[in-house]
Amino acid sequence: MLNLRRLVKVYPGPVTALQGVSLDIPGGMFGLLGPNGAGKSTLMKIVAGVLEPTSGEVLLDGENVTAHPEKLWATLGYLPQDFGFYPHLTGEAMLTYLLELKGVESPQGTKHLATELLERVNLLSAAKRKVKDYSGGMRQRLGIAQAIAGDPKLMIVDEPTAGLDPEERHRFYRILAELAENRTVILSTHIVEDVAVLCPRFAVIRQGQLVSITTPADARGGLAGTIFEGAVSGPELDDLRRTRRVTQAYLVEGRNRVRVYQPDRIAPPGLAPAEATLEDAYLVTMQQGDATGRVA
Amino acid sequence: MSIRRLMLVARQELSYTCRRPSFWIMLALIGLIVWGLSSGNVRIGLTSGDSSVGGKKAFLTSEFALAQLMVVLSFLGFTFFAAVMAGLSVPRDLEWKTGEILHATPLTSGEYIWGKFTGVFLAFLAALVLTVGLVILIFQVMPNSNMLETRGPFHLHNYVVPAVTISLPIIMFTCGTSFGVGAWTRKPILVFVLPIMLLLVCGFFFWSWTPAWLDPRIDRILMLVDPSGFRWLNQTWLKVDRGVDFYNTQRVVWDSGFVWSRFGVAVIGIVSTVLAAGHFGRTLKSSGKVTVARRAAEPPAPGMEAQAAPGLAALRMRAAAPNFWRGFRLVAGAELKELRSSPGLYLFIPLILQQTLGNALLALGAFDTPLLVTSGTLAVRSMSSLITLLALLIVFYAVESLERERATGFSAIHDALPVHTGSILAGKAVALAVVAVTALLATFVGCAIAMAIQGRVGLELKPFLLVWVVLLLPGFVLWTCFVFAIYAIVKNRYTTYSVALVTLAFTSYLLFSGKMNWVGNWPLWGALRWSDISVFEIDRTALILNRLFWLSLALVFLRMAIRWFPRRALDTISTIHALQPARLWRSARGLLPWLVAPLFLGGALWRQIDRGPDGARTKKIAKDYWRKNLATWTDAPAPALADVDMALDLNPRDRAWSVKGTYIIVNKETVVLSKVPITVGFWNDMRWTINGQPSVPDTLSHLYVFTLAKPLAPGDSVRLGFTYNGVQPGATKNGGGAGEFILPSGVVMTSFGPRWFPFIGYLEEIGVDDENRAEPKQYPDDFYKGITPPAFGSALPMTVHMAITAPADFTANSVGERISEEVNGATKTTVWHTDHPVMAFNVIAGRYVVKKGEGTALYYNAAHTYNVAEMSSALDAARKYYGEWFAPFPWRELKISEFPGISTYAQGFPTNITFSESIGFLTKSEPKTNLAFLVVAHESAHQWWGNMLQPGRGPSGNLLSEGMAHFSTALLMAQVKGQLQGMEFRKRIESRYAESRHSDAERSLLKTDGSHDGDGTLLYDKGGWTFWMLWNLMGSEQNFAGLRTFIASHLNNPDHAVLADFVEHMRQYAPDTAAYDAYAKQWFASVVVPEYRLSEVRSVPIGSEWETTARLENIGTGRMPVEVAVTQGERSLNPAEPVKVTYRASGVTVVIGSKEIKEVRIRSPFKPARVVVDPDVKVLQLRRTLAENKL
Repeated sequence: MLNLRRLVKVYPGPVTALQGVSLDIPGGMFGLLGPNGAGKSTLMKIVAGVLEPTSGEVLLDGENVTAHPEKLWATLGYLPQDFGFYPHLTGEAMLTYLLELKGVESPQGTKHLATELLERVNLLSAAKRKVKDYSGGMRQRLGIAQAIAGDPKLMIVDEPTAGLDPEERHRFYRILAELAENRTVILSTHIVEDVAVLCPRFAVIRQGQLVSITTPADARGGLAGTIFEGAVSGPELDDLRRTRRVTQAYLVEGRNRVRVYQPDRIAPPGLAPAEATLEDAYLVTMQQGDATGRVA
Repeated sequence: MSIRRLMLVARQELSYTCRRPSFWIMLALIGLIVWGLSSGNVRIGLTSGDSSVGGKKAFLTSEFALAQLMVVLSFLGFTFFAAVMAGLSVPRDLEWKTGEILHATPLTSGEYIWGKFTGVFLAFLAALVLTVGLVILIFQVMPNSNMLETRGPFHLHNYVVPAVTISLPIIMFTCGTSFGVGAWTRKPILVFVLPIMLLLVCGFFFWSWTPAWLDPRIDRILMLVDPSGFRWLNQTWLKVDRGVDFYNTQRVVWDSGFVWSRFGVAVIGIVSTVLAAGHFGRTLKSSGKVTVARRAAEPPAPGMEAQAAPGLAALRMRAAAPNFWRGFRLVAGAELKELRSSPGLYLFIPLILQQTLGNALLALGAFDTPLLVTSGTLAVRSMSSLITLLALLIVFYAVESLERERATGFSAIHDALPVHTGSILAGKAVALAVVAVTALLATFVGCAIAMAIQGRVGLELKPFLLVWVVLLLPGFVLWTCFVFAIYAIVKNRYTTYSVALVTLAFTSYLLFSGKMNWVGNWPLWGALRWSDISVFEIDRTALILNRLFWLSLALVFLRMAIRWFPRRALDTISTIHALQPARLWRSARGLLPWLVAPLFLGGALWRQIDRGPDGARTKKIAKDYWRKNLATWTDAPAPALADVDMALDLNPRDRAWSVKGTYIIVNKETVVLSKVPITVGFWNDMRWTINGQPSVPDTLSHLYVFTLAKPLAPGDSVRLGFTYNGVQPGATKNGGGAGEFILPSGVVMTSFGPRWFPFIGYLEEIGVDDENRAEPKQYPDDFYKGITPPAFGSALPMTVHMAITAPADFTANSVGERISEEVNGATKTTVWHTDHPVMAFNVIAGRYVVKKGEGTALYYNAAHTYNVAEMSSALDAARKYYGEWFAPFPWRELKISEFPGISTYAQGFPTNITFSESIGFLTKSEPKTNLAFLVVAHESAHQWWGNMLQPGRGPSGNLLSEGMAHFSTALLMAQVKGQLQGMEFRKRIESRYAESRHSDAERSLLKTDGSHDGDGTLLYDKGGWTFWMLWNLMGSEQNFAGLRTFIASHLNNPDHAVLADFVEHMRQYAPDTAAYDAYAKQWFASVVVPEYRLSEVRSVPIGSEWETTARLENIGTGRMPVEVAVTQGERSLNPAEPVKVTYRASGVTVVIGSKEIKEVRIRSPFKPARVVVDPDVKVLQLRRTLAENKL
């Protein structure tokens, strides 16, 4: 169990990145959803112990790891949002080095384990190439390989699917799902699909504050009967934007389609009721935040 | 190329550079140096002027002084900072990953590179302008009493011209080459090769290796290739003092060669940037292709088999955080791999080799004599450059190593790994240790090669292990920990560089300002003196405490580094929080236990210094002695020592001695003396008797005054008895060596001061330092008439009976002849008795073998056989020829005894010459400069000039000792080694005079008393030359006849001679008194020194002969007959070879006065190759090498 208590982080400026975040994260996969700049990475870094909070504390199984993050690092699998490797090492050498630094072993030995992990992230064929020659996606996969290594009690993955193609993303989803069976995995992302696929529970963060802690089903269920969808013309879309709460507007085969949130459940003219998605729920939550300034 | 885009990049770079803390730290450092200079805390080169009150002072604001200042500021202020900031400009963008975006814009690689270079160059140009403004402000505007005499009128060109000529090319050179290296290689570490190379090559070669015998053409080339410009400035304008009036009023004439060389230095910077721009453009395009190719090779999309791979559980992974050692091994392994791929190391190794070989093979001693290097001297000599090099390497390698994770982006993962911070730092330190060990090995290889080339002394490993491993490595450990700690605290690459460089600069300041001591001397700069005989015995305790002190501080720094190493990102607000008193105290409290050892060791070290000869306690006692007794005892009549009977017990192992003895003291004054003042040292258990009766003196701060029961009438004597014991206490301030000492391996004691033996009378020089130093006494012109007291030693000839007890394996030598020697178990007692009166006595003891000569003996360390034959034959020759020329040697034996090279001097006590191992035993005896021969000759001459003829107190007295000793050496050199080596010796002392004289402080030899700047070279070098020219003028027979009667008339004479006595006496023997008077007037009563120049030299064949014409000008002073000759071929310096037939000369003698020009016409039966003024080196002159023209 991971407990975050009144975490505040103020950067010089001053910019308050976190405004007293408190959160209890049980075992299993937990999503942290929020737009860019909401404070997700700051929160992840603080939880991972690589950033000191201005105030507040992080408890892992009741132990405060804020002042002594080294207690956490021994059981942590961490994939930061932005990272690199020693460029002159090969992927295999880099991963082997990291496994050794993390103290990860397997009965077949560290080198063999590194090969297995590279295979899991589909990097085996590039194992002997230097990291400096890797593409962004390959680097990301190498990052994933090191993060999943060992038997971490806590995994923190910050925007893990950035740079991955759809197939790699799904491959990673499966790995994460397996890992989440017997540990806490925190997935920080701005991609709603990641949460929808993986997380039985998630929190929405906005401007350094948690605005919602819920499950995908509850989030969707809360909007039941309030979402309407249909094809509209350009002027109609402008009109809808002025008069209704448009959650999504997108093009399908060159035509505007729109999804509208209608709390009174009365369908706007020309739109038909539609099943609420997690993205609707997320966007409605964000809009409510915009309207009220604060939604908890 | 778009100028607009280029300037856009330039503006961005300029703005970035000017906002860096390191830029402002650099300016602060420059400000501190300038302020230090104005306040007198920092001194640089220009030594012209007269430091006496009211004497002419050189302006700090002259163009010459400011040119020197600009060299210093450029090297200490600009080079490293410019290299760092310019060199890292392109690699930094690579780290920031801005390249792809920037180069996807219309910005071309040329615009980018030139924009970056322009920006950083403009920043340093601005820094130069600010520096000039700062110097003007401090030197011309700010009130400062220290600059009352050194502030000249304001001339803007004095500031601007040196800045443009000296600093601007250096800045352009450093910015351009470092920028080029950075842009070409994109590896930060390579950027630092250049400034380190510059510092080493300039500091240890261009600026310092200027032997007088160097071929002027080679010297000129070195002047032009020195990128700092200092060698040219020094050799052309400063080395030979032209006087304050010249420096204060004239402008530097920058000759065209030098201007072109400065232009070339600047162009190298530009060319580097051009090359870098081309290379950058090419690699930018090729790297794009590589990216495409790489992407094409990306692994295929996952197939079904991959998706069907077993779950992670199947891997049965276990994780346990590595312990400290495992983490350390892992990090060290990775760091070493990184190092192996670092090209920097491969560049530094040849640099180190070149430096070491240069230092070893070009090492010069006194009189520019090439030194004979041994393993120990090499280990110590190379230590300063090694620690400097290592300190700089470590700053750059350590910071790059610590920055590596951040620069590669790996820190995001690395910081959250379960590896102990200590393991990380220790692992990185190991890689640095490999850098250090590689540097040491490269240096060792250099030393081994140097010794093999030298081929005289065998290579020993032990001294290298002792000096480099035991003494140097703690410095390396300390510096590494220090750099780690700085980085951990400031968490910034550039600020770490700046703090480290400022620390090095401050350490240098402490050293060069004389404020350094054992406590502060972490790199042991200037603190070590190697002696094969006495290995670090003199300050051993201080040395051990120093190393332990700094090692314990290294632990403190390491603790700080681990505590604050930035594995967790901190920001300003976190830092402010961390600085809250409570949190600060918690942090400090954690450090307190680590501070116990440094505090204890530092305190113990401080106490050692305090108790030592330079310590505050010793200074206080000396100052009390001066304050208490000055008014009462200065010039008070005192009795003289007539007989010494002493039993001296030496215990070298404990550095202790005890004395039991008597002095017979005689009243040689004309008044009755009721009190006898005796100056005593730091002794214990003192007991005194007067005529056998116990006596208790008045103790006036180490001046013991005995009141006699029966006052001493003129001619009466009293027997003073004494017993005491002493221990040589404490340590020197910063390993400065010692002239007199008692050490486990050797003993040197003299009667010239009160350190070892009671000294009759009050000593005016004790307790005098810069704070209370008075101007010297002014003597009337006829002060020498009547009785003149002696300049040193007893006023009466005395007898000495000395029984010395020392360890049985010691040989203890003193004045006179050995009467007996008796071994009693572990000790040996040797009795010495003077077979002829002496004026002073000394004791020297050590473990010796002896080489006996003809009435001579040379006691030397068994390992130092290299020059024994040369020295022994010189000693024999000295005794023989001086005895024939001046007076028979009155004692039975003349001996030399070697002492450890913790001090570099020799001293000619009667019969018993003390001789440092460093001044002749370990030098190369080469015809052009033969230190072993000339020092033996000089010190032996003191048996006649100094002992038999004891000079009088007052101006010019010492000239009869030192000047005559040099004159005697010149004669002996020519007699034994041949005329050509005699000429070489005269050239050596001539250039010493030219380079050491202070023309404004120089007075006539008759008035030279040793108190003014540059008096030393007058007493020795000019004195020797002048006596030699007099000998040449008078003719050998007449001159020797005069000298013989001069010595005879002053032997045991209470009236001691000065130069005026000599001039009067020798006149009787002059064959041409008019010429003699003219000579004496010029050279003894005036200050003259000719300087000749030839111009319009032409040579044409006339029949079977050649006629050469030239214009000869004396741009110096004085009127002397001087030969001008045309020559062909070279003369051999080897006395075994007669003058080679290929050398031919024809000349004419011209008498030419100051500022006169004369036409010279020379007929020769051969085609001349050159025209030379004074080919046989008969007239003392300045810049002899310029008085020669090739045809």
